[in-house]
Amino acid sequence: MLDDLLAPKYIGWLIDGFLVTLALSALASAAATVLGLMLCLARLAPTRWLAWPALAWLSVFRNTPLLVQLFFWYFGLAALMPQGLLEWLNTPHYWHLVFFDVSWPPFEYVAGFVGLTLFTSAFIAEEFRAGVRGVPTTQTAAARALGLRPLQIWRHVVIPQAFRIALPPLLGQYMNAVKNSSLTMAIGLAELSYASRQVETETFKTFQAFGIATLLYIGTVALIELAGQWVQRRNPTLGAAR
Amino acid sequence: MGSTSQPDTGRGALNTMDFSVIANNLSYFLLGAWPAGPLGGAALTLVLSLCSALASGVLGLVLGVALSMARGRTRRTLLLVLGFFRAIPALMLIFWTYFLLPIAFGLNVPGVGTVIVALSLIGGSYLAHSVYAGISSLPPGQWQASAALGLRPLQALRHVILPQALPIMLPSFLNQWIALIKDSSLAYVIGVGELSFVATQVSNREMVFPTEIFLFVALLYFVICSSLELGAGAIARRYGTAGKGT
Amino acid sequence: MIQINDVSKWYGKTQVLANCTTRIGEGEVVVVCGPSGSGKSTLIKTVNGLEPFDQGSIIVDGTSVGAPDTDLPRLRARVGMVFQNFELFPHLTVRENLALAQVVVLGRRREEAYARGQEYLVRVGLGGFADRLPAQLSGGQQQRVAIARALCMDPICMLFDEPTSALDPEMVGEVLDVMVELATEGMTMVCVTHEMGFARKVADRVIFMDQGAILEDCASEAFFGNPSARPERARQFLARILSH
Repeated sequence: MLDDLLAPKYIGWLIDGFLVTLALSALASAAATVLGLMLCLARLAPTRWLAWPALAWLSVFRNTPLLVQLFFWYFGLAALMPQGLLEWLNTPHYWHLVFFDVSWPPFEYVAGFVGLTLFTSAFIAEEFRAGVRGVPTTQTAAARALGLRPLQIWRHVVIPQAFRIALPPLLGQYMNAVKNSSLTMAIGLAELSYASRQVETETFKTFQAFGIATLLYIGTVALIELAGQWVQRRNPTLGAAR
Repeated sequence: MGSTSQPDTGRGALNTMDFSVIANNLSYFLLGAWPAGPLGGAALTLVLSLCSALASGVLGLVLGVALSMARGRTRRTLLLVLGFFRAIPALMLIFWTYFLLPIAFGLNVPGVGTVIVALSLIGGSYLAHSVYAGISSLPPGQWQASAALGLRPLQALRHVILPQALPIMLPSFLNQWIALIKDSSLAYVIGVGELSFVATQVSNREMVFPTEIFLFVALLYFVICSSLELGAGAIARRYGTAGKGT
Repeated sequence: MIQINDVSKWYGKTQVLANCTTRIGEGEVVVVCGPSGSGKSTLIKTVNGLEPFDQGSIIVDGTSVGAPDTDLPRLRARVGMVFQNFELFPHLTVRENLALAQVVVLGRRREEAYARGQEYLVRVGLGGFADRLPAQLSGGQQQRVAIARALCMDPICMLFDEPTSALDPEMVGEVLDVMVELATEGMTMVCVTHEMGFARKVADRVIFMDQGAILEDCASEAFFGNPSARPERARQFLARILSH
């Protein structure tokens, strides 16, 4: 198994897959953070026309497996779409922007991105909610006593502090996004796990194929963890009060 | 590298959905081929997740206790091992166990066993930290008082520490079970006939009702997980006030 | 019975115990006092090995505490300790608190352990409280149960680490009364405490510590009766304490 190393061609497959994993996780994490914040604010809104639907939405996306969600977006949603839209999504498109060409990705990328983003955003929303809960109510009281209006209190006092508290768990969710991106292989997205399976099937060098993929995943997760610790050392105010 | 079959039949709005496919295959969704064949579907999901929950509970307890009592190099090694299982994607670990277990045991391990082993290792690693946190949350005076009376560390754990720490940790165990219900869906990738696998099977067979099928399957998971979540909340509330000391 | 020979201890670079040497004989009641941070709690915890020490030796009833082959749990079963925060086991009733160590460590039968526990419970004045949980007791009551729990092990000596410091003033008396009674019955006691009234009444000797070192170790009449002969630090301490 370990006699001869993988040919460069297969290592190339793995690297390509890894790059897809990184891009997918990064994009999904970014989108999920924005969406998660909005969902959290909706969930905490004083009006129940916002709060209850948000709660329902969050429950659904947190209590169903990511795999099923991905299947739904890939198979289920496509079946619901009007014929025209579906055809557009399936054919390749290229746009020539000033500096680079952009091509519309195959449908599994779209479905994978949508699925991973929505799933992750539900958990990020929960972390933000915990962050908001972690801001002492005395802060709001003090802000009100100074004459700030509710929206100003949210913007200048609560959200910045909630963000600080939520940052470590947020990084945890980004690590989860990297790990969860592996599920998109089930809908044919050519990311790292998919690539490692392909390499293993063709070369039978299981240890190397899986081993390299595992190391890449763990390395990425460890890097995020270390980045988090570095940031926390520079800013001791981050994280929940001890 | 090619992609799997792309959907190419659009059908338009929601009101054209037909849920009869669910009714026709209901027992297959819920029980798999049982009793005419092996257990599958939602029932297998429950069995899978329950077995993994129990195994990871035991593992987490043992490792968590070890973590709170170990020092120096043993502790660092333990932390590294736990960190490994929390950093590796569950999918990759399933690949590994699927590949390594037959080599380790010489015989063909069924897919279900593979998944249980993989999920228990990951779940156990997360629970180890919860157990450690629970034990650490007790005042150090409890350890000291036990020692002062002559109790050895294991006796102190059994009679003083764990009886107080376990109720604190109960929500973590239940949350882990909920996570395992969702993670059991990963068994799909090695062909285990649990609920997600059954869903894709029916969908591929029927070809024209993916939306209905996956909505229904999502609903099943949602019902199971939400019930557990509500149960966990109720238990957390009940133990929230009891068990507090002086 | 207790010999502390040239004991020193460091936390990193800070020295918390500096060459402490003293002896406590059988039946003696010794009070250890001093400003906070003087190392008195640390010293008393080295006696039953709850705190390790880096230098010197401690011999309790012939057993060396620091020796690597000493079975510390067995030694601790013979030395009773009472903590500042009582440290009763909150998930057990008073009866079970008293019985646990008897059954698990000494191997007594459960009924015997309950009976002994009830005996000592009566001695500390809490005979009817056997079925209560610690959370249902006041601080003073909990501390008295803690003393009973230690006594149930039939110890050769008792160590008290600031037993009344966490109590509201009106409950200090009930605990001190129990301790006075113990002393008059001849129990060997080492007490870290600020209660100078107690010290005056029953202590045979007073040890004054400051910054990890034993500055004064003399008979209690000499300590209280002749303050001008005491070192400067001790005099300051006494003056501040006694002025309350």
